[in-house]
Amino acid sequence: MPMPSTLNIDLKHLRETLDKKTGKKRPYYNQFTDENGHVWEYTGILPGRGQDGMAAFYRDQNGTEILVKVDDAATCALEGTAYFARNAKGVVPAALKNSAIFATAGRMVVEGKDSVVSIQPKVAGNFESWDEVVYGEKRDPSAWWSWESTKSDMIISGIESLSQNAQWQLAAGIKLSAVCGDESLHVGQFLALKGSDGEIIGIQRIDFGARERYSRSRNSHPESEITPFNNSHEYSSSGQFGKDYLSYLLAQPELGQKYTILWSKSFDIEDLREQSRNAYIEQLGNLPKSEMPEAIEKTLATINKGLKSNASYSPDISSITIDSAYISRRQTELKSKLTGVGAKEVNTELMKMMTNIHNSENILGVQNEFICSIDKIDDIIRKLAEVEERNSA
Amino acid sequence: MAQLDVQRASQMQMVATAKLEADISNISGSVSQDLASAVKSVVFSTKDHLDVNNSIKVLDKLTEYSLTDGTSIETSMAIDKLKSMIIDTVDLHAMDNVLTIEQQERLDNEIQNMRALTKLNEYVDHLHGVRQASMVSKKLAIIYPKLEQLRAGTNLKEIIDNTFLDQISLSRRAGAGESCGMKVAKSLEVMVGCAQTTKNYQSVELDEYPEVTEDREWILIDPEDITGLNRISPNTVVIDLDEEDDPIMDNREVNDLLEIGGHKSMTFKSAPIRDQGLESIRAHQVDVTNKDNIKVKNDPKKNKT
Repeated sequence: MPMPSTLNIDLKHLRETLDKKTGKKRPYYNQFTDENGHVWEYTGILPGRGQDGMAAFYRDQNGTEILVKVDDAATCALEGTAYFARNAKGVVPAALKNSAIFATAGRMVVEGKDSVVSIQPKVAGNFESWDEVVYGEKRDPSAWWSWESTKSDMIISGIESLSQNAQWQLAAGIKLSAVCGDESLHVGQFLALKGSDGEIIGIQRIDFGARERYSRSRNSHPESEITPFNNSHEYSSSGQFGKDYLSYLLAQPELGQKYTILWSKSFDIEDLREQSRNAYIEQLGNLPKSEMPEAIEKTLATINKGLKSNASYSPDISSITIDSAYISRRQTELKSKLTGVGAKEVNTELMKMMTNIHNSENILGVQNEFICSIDKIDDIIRKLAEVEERNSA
Repeated sequence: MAQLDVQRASQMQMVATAKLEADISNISGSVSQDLASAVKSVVFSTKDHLDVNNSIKVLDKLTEYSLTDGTSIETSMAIDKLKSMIIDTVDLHAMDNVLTIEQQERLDNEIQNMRALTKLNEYVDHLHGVRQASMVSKKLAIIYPKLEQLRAGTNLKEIIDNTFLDQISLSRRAGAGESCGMKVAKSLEVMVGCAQTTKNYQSVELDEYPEVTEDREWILIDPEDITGLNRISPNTVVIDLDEEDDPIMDNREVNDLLEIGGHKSMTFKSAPIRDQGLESIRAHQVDVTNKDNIKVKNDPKKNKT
């Protein structure tokens, strides 16, 4: 089911609740209306969230439940585009497409003021964070050495205790992460679905917030250094010690074999490219315009993280095209929406459409320029500002 | 941007494929070339071209190969690995419903059995690494013929419950040495053979291995003499105990020993076991002409002086 992308909220619905896990007071809205007029009611807070800002569950009249989190625009945009890996042909079999929970980016409008949210389906069933299952407690992310490195035997035991289906899901979740460029594969990045007898019958990868981190840097090495069996040097040597998470997971032979076999099956690389492009354009389009420059700037910073300023780079700019399937679809949708609508509404819709396309063209254009030369940042910001000025004029 | 990682994924796919092919080639070194090719044809098949019946035939051929006389434990383990690759491949494609119900059942059975064998292989590794192998190997030598008897028509759970778990538990408690590793492994290899030929795959459940309980009644026997089975008459076997080891054997094992050896009577003679503080020599003679007379009970704790 497609997730809503615009949350219209009246400030009178603002509430506050106490997070029992953190002891902090958390804001939430007890109701919002999406772009299709559906009303969503608050059902609960996401407990234990480290960051400030709203993170709450909502349900519509059909019983669909979602999690809405306020986050920064770049994180929402990057995380929100990860689903392309699931949608591409042949990356994982249809039965394993549920091995990860993907969020999409959205726009929350409170009394005319925009903010960015990530929206994802609520995980159904009796789930527990996998690190609590494996380690018996929540992992400590600030340890000098990652728990994955110091408690690797517990990971092996944890994987051994999984059902065959759960092992396949774990393998697929890891592969989906690799395909969309998220190397944060510590044990806390998975949820464990428990059966009635407490056995773990399913595993789902969550939180693709580390997507594309070090992307340019890790891809600047010769192809012979690329492997699906270890984290990149850039990622594993950042922050705490012991971040070659892949090696600790794949040390369990059954999982390692399933993962290898999964990778050995060919997938449609062109379809993957197309899905990636469409997801990027669509998710950027979900953001408030005022957030786009920052989203792009931070996204590029994430991609360029770890890159030395004098590194040369020649991306395949031709792979990014404005004539995307997304824009074509939007045009078709617009035509159908305009049938029987008055002149004023037509004009308004056309303006929205043109603005979107106009922004997309400029955003992609300046992004390409940026990738070609990271020294052009000032120029890019200026161009973005010009676009914004024209749009708001 | 994402296009870079898409290209990266393409490279990863090639690396994984190359590794899988190399793994199969390396593992297949101990089996025939034809068999290795057959394995590759299954593992590298696509969903649309997977021949499930052929995959099962390859599994059967591998099983048959592992049961050939003289097959080493290393070869058996390599074959298990190849089988698990085939099973995983078929399992992966089966997710998109390419299997018939019968094929799925067969696959499930194979998966269950492979998991059981994996557990056994773990014990091989374990036993390779522990100390005091002498005792463990002798113990396993006792159950070896029993396992042969159980080879056909019995499920793996029964084999393990009845004959093997106690030995494993004993080895864990007592420890074993490197010198005995291969003997132990050979015995385990027979277990694997039993498991592969067992007819009832469904009842294999190996999640819990029972530990030896502390309330059993033990007798003390020197393992050196158990294998020798010093037969002094058609109905009498003498086993001497000495002070070097701390072997433990329970009544059920004695029963097994007697049945396997076809003995009607048995004499147990113990030597001082100084490390347990026993100073007297005890002797036990058992007339097993009437099974009701088999009462070889001796609790070492009660005999401490």
